[in-house]
Amino acid sequence: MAVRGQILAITAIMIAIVLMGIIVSVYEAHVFFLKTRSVVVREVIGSITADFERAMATVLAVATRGYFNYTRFYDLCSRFSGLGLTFLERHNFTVARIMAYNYLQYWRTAVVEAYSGYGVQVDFEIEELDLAPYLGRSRRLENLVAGYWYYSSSCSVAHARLKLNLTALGFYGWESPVTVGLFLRILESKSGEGYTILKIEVRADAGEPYPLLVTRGWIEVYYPEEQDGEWTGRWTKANITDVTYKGNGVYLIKLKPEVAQLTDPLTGNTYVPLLVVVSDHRGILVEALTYNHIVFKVRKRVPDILTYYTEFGEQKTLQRPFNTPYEVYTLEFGSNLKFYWLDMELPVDPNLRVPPLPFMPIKQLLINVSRDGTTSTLIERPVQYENWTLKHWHDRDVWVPYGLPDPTIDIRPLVVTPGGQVFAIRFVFQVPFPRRDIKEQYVVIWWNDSLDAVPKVWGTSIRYEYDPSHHLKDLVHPELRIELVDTEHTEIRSYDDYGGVAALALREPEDVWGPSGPWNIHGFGYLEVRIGRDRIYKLNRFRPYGKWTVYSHYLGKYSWMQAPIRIFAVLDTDYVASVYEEDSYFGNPITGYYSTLAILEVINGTRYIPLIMHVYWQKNRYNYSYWLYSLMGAGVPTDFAYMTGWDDWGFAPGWWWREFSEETVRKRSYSYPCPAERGECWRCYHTGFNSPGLWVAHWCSTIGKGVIGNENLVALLRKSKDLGYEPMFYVTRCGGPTGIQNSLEVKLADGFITVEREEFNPLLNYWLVLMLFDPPSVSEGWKGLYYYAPMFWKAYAPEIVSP
Amino acid sequence: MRLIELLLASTIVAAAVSFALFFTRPVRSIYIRETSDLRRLAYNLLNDFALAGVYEEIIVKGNLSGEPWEDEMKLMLSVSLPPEVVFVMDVYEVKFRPGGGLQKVKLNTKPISNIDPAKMDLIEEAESVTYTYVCVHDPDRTRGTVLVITLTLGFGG
Repeated sequence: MAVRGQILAITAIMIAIVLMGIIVSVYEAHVFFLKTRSVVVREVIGSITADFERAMATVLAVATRGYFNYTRFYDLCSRFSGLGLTFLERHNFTVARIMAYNYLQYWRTAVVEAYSGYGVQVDFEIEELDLAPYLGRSRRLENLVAGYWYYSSSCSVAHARLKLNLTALGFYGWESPVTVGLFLRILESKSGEGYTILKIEVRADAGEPYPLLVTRGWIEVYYPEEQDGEWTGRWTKANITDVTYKGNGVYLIKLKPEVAQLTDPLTGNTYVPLLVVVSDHRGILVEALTYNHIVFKVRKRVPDILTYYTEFGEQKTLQRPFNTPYEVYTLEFGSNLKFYWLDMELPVDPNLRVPPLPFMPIKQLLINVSRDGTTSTLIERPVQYENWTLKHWHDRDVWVPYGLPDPTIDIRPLVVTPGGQVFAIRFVFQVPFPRRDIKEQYVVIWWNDSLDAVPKVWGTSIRYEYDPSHHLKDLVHPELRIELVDTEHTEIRSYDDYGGVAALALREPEDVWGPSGPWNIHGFGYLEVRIGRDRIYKLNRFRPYGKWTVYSHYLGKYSWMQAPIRIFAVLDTDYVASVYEEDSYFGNPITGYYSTLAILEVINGTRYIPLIMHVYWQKNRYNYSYWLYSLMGAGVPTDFAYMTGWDDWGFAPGWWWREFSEETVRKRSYSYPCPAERGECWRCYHTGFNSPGLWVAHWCSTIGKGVIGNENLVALLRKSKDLGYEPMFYVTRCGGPTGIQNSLEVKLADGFITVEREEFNPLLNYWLVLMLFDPPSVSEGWKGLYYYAPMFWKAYAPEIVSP
Repeated sequence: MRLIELLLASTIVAAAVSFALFFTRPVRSIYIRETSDLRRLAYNLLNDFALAGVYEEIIVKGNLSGEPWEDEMKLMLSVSLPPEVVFVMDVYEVKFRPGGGLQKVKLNTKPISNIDPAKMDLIEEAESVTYTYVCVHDPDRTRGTVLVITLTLGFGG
């Protein structure tokens, strides 16, 4: 029994010990709780985290406001220029990110110092965030800040993982993912009864509905400006008449005016073209649009079967080949919503309404073009951005390129300055029609939604070689090298000194064999030189004198990037001069003759080189002969041909004096006999043919070269004819350093002419297209040119149609 | 005998529990709770002000306009705190130096306090907190400015 009693006592003692242990443990836990509670760890952590969110919101606000419109938000953005976000870098989200890092580092220092009593260690870690649940498309945030705009679902987001230690309190390892952002989704847009209705959803941070848009944030809605029933390309701020918060972040917005509703040809969805910008109370900004692409079709109008006449009056047909690999149109889409080809505005289907481009940097814009006329072959194609201005040039308004813009600047629609100057940006793209049966091609203009987008570098086979120390001022094409001869580069290499006269010397690309001769783009009058008792007549005396200004690279920080599609050379001068050293006007230009505005384009992936010409006579002048152009051949071509511009008489082969009709093809060889209507036809002849028309060509067995004019050129020539002068097509057999020329020349007048300003100035605007072609045979080599010539005529210019 | 053992065992357990409970009573727990409440109150108040945009409305706009804003802030604090709580607030703007250092510039030109700030040191039950605030609200020209706010609260009674 005594043993039993001891066991009971021992058991009680053990229970007591266990109880004491438990109570001591509870005590320790309680003391720890009190300690941490007493120094308000939770509040400190909460305060720092909230401040980190504010710091993140600040950098996101600066980045997005600067991206949208740095000038408008200059008060905010300029204060962060010291951290890298300058005006010039406003559309560089990498720089915005660096600014954000710098600012957060400063903030971190401030926090560590402010909370030093707690021994705060603060850091943040970059982690990725999947934005697909918010945007409805696959997008990710990869590095601190990101923005995806310009779609109907857009967002601006910053995300990082905050890490905190309070070392003085022994509190370690606190981590908190922090997301700040603004999400805008356009749910619906429709119009009617004088109003436009817009339904949007706005969410913030981790996707919570944002109910403060009206009270503490703001919203702006823009609609396309309209003039004379057409959209100009500009955005106008709408008058919001009512905003209703429907809950769950959804707002119903009623605005004026009623904007036309469009249907997307690809999706069939209807929408009202609107641009929506929202900002929350922290300054975070998002831009969204009701559409994310513009679709249209380019329809070619070149007929499959071409007609022409023989010199014996027989009408012939010529079917274009099934494969037309060189039928590539280099088109321009202006920010004024108009389309251009060469020097003309293209016709647009009245049923097609093209909405404005978003208010965004140029670099965001991309273009897809189909290969076979179906949407399944739509692929991204090179796009080039160009600055154009509508210049009032003497008696006419002319669109002139004045450079390639900085791709990071905003797309400016038609800008009219108080002084009346007009500017627009053009987006250049190429539409190929590689087969005869392909009549239409899809074109989709769309945009990269990422604010991190950088201009795409496209490969190109054209380049500008400029090195005055090596006498280089050349535009190089895979099949041709064009030496730009002007006041800066006066001497054609291995040829003549032109004394500042502007011309184009054609050479082969490798530049081994020397020039094939100059392409003189305008000339008037002659110079009589007496050597002993001999009189020598030097032709083409007064030629344009000036400098070719070349636009080959973009401006700004992308100045290293070359234009992928075409390089411009622009000549704008009021002077003329002579290329003959014995002439007093050699290197001594004068005014009082004519002004010249010439725009030369060297285009990648094509075999044509357009030269847009505008000439303005300052005074009436009388002299011998007027050349519209003369293109030398260096003796390479063996045959030549041209198409007549109107009904006329001439010698047909066999010396038949016959009347031939308009569009007669007259083909000859650079050899004897020389059946010409005019000029010398013996020895080294300079001989001419009546009624020059839309094209001239010369070729050998392997390669051909021709010049295609447009209807304006023919109208000009006919005017000369109607005034009693003799417009002629000429060829020159000999001359120049090579001894043999075999040239192509078109004269507005062969013989003396009084150039009357009132008669000719209105017509002196035409284009010439130098084209290289493969002659199908020596006897019918001209067909290689004729297959493609109609591309460049206004009557067959492509049209823009609704898909 | 059994009864004696049982009584002895029960006495031992009861004594052990009483002994443990006696020694596990928190020391100065009342004092800890009171001062921690002041800190908590201070942080909660500063956070509430932050959420409501009070700093931009009063401090920032006051500094931009040049109008005295300290009295308005004092009023704001007075109506937000219990009457027996005394306070002293100081506001600094943090300026970042190009080399990476910081400079704190005091913004209030007069005390923001409901007592003489010198007397605050005499109050035993007082707590001071420091709070950082990045300005996120309008106006744009001050967005991103970092403020450091020190707020000292005490039981005035």
